[in-house]
Amino acid sequence: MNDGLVVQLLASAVLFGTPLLIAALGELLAERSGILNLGVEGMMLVGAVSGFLVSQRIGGAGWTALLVAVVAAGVVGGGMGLIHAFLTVTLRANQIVSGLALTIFGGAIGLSSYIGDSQHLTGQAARHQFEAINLFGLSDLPILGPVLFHHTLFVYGSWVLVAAVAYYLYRTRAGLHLRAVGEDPAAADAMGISVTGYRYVHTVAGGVFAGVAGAFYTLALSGNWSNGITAGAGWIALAMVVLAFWRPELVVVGAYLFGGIAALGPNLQARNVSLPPELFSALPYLMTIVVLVLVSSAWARGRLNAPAALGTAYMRGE
Amino acid sequence: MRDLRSLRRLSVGAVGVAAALVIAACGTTSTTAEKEATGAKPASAKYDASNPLNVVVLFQSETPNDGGWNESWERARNKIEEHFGGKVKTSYKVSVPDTEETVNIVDGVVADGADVVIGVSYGQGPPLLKAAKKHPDVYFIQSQWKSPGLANFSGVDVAPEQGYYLAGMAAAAASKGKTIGAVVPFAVPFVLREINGFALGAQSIDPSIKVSGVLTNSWFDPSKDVQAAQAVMSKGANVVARFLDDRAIDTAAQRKGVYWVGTGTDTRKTAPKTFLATPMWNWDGVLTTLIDSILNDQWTSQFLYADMQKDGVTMAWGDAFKEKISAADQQKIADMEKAFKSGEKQVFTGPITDVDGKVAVEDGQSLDLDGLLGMNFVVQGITGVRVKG
Repeated sequence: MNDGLVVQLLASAVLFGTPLLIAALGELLAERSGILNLGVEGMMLVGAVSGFLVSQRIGGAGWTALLVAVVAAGVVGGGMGLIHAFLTVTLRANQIVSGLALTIFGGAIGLSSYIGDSQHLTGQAARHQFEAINLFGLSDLPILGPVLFHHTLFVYGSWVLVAAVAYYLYRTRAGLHLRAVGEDPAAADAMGISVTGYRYVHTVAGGVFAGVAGAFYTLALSGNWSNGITAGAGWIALAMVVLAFWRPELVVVGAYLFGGIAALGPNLQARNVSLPPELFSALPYLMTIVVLVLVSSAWARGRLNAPAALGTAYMRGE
Repeated sequence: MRDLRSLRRLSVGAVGVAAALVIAACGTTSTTAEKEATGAKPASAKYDASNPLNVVVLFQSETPNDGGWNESWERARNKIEEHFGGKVKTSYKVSVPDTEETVNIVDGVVADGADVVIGVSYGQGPPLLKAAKKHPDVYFIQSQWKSPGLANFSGVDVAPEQGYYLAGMAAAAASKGKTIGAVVPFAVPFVLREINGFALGAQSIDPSIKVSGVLTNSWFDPSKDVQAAQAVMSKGANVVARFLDDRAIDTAAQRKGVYWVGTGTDTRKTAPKTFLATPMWNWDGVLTTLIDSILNDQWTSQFLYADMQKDGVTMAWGDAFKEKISAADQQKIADMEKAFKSGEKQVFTGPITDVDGKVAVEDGQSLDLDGLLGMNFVVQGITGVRVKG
């Protein structure tokens, strides 16, 4: 039963949706503060390569090495977020241009590729990898076992992150301030909230999340570094924030839906359902377009929930 | 990033199209000029340590060390440089597309002093042919394309079907079940030669074995590649062969205790425990022949097909091969390798039936080079891979 198509699909949805989920949560935090960061893909790649580099070079037991590697990926991603924050908040540069520059800088022909090549990481077998954990001994449960309880710490950690971000956003004072900064920075400023501070912190946090999401690819999914390993996941994560109406609980739904749809093609093919592979390659993007069209309708726009100040620099007294 | 790059490509591409139009126009107005351009080989020159032959390899990938196809060319590039001492200087460019922009990139490479330009990807054939017409004084070597009468253009190829035939035999011998998994990028001729050879080899050990393929529709996408590998493994395959350059598949297989077959370059380091076999592509032989002919002023436009007889393909076997395959099967594989090496056996010798039950190769016939380079059928016993038609 647990080898069936549906179980395999659901388990894949959770596994392959996880990096999208983590990266999209981070981007959601940044966008809630009014900062659009198109550099997610670049930050993920740099996080992926840094995490792998650290896990390969550091001594000690597997768990400590992996923990330090994930922290390193987060720190490096956060550092790139800091660059974006400095450019867009302090220097008030165009957010789209700065984000794109970040992706080029970090991307498959930039820093991540340089680190990978100069450290000869391509082709190295991983010394440490996150392995699937049998959570509470439940992985043999029918259906739910393989789908929910046989994953790596990344997956379980991402569930904690979703709860934490949702709680932070809706139930804490800082979360309320964050939403205020994203909706109306002038009003927030008048209330004595530091717009600059909030934007810096959450853009950096977005970078940390993206870096950790990137590390998922090298430390949990593929077990090695290859140039451009995230293959566009950062862009899908960006779309996911919009599809989820900037709400963390909906990001989960979107991420797993994308993960499942991406896994649908190979699994049907392996079971001899002959359909054009181009269709399956295009499905996640087709779905993005369909949802974007739906949410752009006049009816939906009123309920969309986009931070009103998203993408605009704030200057006091304007 | 995508947007900016595509914009850049668009603008450069537009220039390229314009340039190509101008060339095309010249070609039609003056046929005699074109005959001169295609009829004569590049002027001879003396190359030595003070004036080395400048060879530039164009990779489509973003790194030459991709653990597969491109890396096999990178190996050859290093070997050539070593072989010819100071007489030949080599370098490479990465991220060279297979579009009109490629012609412009070649223009730049030639302006920087290249004497020989090598195209690694099949898709670089058409732009390199254009570039070869434009630069009659430069030698062009391109994988898997025959020269259409251009004197300065030669094609090279290995015999992927032979290497994969042996790997297929090993996969069938090591498999406990009746299904072997295959992760396949596109159903293009070169890949079809690989997977058809693989399936025929597997069937020579166990006629009822099935090769269950998943087309990923991309040359490299770790998420998709791992998904494809997991999909075939969840269906019960305990051997997975990959036909694209992604080591993530090796790791995914080892994690499930499934044997894996690599491509072009020995990547056993990635997942050594369940490594079964990899057919290796060795381009140094054909490239040495061609470069020698330039240095000795003996160059002619030709197509060199390096099969096992010419060491264009060799096998890398894993520990699993020696430990998990019976002595009898190992002997069969060794005998077949000998038959390929002596040239007495060819992979695509009829009768071969395709997936639809039609005759692909007649009884007693063997595919010639054109048949190989233009392969457009899938043999019986493969599921999940279709040729567009």
